[in-house]
Amino acid sequence: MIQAKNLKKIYSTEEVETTALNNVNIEIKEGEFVAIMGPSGCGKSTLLNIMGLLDNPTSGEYHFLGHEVSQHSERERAQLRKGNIGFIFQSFNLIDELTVFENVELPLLYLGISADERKEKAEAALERMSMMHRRNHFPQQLSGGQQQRVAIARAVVANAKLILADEPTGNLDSDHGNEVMKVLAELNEQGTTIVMVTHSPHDADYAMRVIHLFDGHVVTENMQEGFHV
Amino acid sequence: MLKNYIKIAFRNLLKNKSHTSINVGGLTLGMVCSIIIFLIIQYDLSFDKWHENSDRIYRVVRETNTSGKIGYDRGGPYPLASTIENEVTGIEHVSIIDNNNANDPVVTFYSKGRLEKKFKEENAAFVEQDYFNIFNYQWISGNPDNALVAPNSVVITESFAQKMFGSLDVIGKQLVLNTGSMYDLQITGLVKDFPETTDFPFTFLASSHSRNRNGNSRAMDSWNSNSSSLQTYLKLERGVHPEDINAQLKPLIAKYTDEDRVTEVKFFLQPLADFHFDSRFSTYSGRVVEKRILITLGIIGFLLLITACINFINLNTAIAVKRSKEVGLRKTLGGTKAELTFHFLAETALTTFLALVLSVGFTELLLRYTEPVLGFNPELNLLSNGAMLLFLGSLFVIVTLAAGWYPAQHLSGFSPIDAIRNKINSSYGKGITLRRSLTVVQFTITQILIIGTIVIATQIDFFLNKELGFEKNALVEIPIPDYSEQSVNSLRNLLSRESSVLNMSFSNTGAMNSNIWGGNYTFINDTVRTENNAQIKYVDEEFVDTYGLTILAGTSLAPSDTVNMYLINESLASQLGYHENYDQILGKPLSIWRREAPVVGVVKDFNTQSLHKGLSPVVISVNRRYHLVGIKINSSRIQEAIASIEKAYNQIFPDFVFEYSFLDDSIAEMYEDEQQTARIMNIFTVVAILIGCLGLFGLISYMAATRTKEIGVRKVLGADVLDILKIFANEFSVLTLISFAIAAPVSYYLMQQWLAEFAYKINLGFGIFGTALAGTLIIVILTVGYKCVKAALANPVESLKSE
Repeated sequence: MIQAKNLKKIYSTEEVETTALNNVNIEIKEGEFVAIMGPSGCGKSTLLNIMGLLDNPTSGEYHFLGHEVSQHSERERAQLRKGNIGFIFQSFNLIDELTVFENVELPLLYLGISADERKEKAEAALERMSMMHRRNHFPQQLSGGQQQRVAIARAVVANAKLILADEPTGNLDSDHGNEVMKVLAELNEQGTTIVMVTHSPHDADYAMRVIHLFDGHVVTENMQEGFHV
Repeated sequence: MLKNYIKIAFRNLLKNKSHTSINVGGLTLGMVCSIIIFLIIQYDLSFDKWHENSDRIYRVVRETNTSGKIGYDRGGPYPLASTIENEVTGIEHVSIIDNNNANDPVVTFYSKGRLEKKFKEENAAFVEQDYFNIFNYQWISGNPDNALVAPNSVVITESFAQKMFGSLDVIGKQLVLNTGSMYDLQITGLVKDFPETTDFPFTFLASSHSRNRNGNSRAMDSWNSNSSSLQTYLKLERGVHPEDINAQLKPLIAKYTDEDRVTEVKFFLQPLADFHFDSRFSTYSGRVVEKRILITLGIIGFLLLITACINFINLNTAIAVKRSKEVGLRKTLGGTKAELTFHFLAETALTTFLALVLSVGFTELLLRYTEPVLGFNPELNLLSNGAMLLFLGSLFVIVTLAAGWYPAQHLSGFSPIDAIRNKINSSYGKGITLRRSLTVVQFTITQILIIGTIVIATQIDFFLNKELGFEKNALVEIPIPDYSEQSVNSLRNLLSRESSVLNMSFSNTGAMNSNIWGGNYTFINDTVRTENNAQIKYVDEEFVDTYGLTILAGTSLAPSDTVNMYLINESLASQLGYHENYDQILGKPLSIWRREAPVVGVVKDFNTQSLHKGLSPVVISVNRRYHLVGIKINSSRIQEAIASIEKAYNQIFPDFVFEYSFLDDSIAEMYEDEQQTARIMNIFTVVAILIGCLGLFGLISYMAATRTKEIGVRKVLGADVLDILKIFANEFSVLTLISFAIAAPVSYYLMQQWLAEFAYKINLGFGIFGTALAGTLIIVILTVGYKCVKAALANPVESLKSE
């Protein structure tokens, strides 16, 4: 599903050049659950952004679903992103002005799906996350765990093949954190590929494979032997 | 998708109430002004558009050239129309319009010998039968083909019939028209009134062949007597070019007028489409609006809209940060830049729509109060005014795009990664430079309007207070319908008995009047013969005293029954070569209209016309052709004086309606156009200032909110309120100065153009510009100050804790 070859990402300002990623080579197959770990500033989020087609690498190749996309324009990337990739963020990133239902419905809107079908799919996703009873609430009215469940519902509503999670439990207490990790594991069970950035070894245990980054390099790749289910 | 956009847009508008109010408020102000301006332009462009073959209707106008001094007049000599009919080819119809009424005529209706009704009718004129072939009237009764063929017949309009008789059953009824001469007229036709937008608002059209009871006073055969009140109208044959007619008019001058005239005369055709817009000639509606005035108004409306759009752009790009996360997310979830642009444009469209609905409502309300400002009463008539609907539609689209396009592009251009990570601040991209530039544009527009308003107000003040060379206070002028010796003497005797009346003088035009009499004089000094044009005042011997003129040399006029002496003014003496040595012209013979008499005195120059025009040479002589009496009254007994004057007038002229005016009021009325411009400019300037303040207030509120922490830190470090105020005030003061640097030369140029038309004008000195700048700075500081002081007074502990 994902193949990265010699990925390099350099951020330059007028005075400083920072290499965020340096010759990163990664391959992720469909159905995998991969955790990316490493200290702050090691390039985890940059890698996730490139994987999520939010950003282009400075050099190197990036193949997503068989397309070489490293030089795609923003518009082309947006087209490919729609429906294929779901995002989950540490700070949930729900739109405050929209209700729970409208937040979940949003990706379908950009896919040009009819209103009836949108309703059906969004409700199904909410049902799946046990959030139907909160469909008309606004994000501020929910707890952190509930907000993250809504964000997951939004990530899966369009049947995304890949879910990218950026420290999904970072803002949650351990109970809510575990709840979220279980949901992700279930999704993976059902065939969704998941790539997760995390600081938490506990969360990483849920993954099949852990990639360690340090100063923009992949330092180790460990296959997990007995990961959580 | 669109439904979704609108729903979200609504929520956003409701959530940010203050921001929404500023945006909607500013746009509404701008739009109300532009709708009213559109109504004004539409009103003036719709004058006399309904006449059949209106492109073939012309008026014969006159250009005069007296020693290089060019003049224009709408009138001509009496025989012009009949001569054109007989000698010029290519004419289908020709008619005079004659409203030679020194005073507004009085129409009286007697029934069985008893007076039923009497009133002044300013819209009365004598015309020929052909008038109805030139202009299209809808006939209610009477024969359109011959109603005015017979002398002493009159066609009236519906409104006149209602006013006089309260019914439309009027054919055959008798009326008396009193213009100073009495006419017994029979109603032979009834027509519908023209719509309000006409320069021919006549309600009473009498046959020009009518005979009055005491003989006709018109110079029926003279080619040398021209009057603005006697105009010639034509309808050309199909396919005839006006230049062909102009060419045929040329030889008529040589054929019929005196060869040795000082003044070179040219007749030419003015098309109907120009009547309403050519200020060289007046119209019967009294309203002439130059197209450049309409264009200027259009530009002002456009500029006000721009300033409102600038508020919108500034505020929305400033608060874009607040929505950056939303943008980032929408993009992450698959929204493209185009989709987001459309989304934000839809939000703007909603705001614009709200503003538009409010503007239409406010305009409807305001139109009840606009008549004193505009001089007419426009109506919105949304359902029947297709052009207005089209205008509102375009306004909606243009404002949405002008206000919304840039913010939509700006917002939808955020990088999703930066946006999600809150890396976007208010100076993201070109936001801050753009906001500063737009603020400068807005301040420039406002300052140009402020300077313009100050200049106009100062000029009017100058007009009203300039020393005119005569005494205008406590002077009442009354038009008199006849100047027979008996009437004049009786009135004089009655008035001199009143102790509240100090002095009086009968004359043709008083000291200063919008009516002027002029003619050519001949002056022979030894062997040099001078011929030129001068204004002529026919007065009585009290003229100099009553109006307080100053005699520089010689004596005043003595009582006389004939023209036997002349008083001239300084300008004429100088023109004749006696500059400053006025004594030497005394006793020398001057001839006017073939009456020769010696110059007996020289008066100090005084203004005889509005100050739009300069001083003219003036000849004053005793002659009983009076049209008004100027009465100097005791200024502490005004009511009493007016009452006794009215009583005396009604005793001498029982068939007329008493009317009086104070000379200073009549003089102020000469500047009505400027005063109207001033009223409109005041309103637009206030609106521009309001829009500017709204925008500034929005920006500063936002800036204060985003810089709370900075203010807190500064205060902890020892800054006082003034220091904090300076941070914000500095930025806006600099922007004000930059825009002043642009506005000052632009408005200097524009106002010089405006002033160029006046003979007497103010200097555009530093004072005017200084006042404008100081005013703007004060407004800016007051607007900015409130929020800043509030921010500066906040407890720093609170602001730092909340971060």
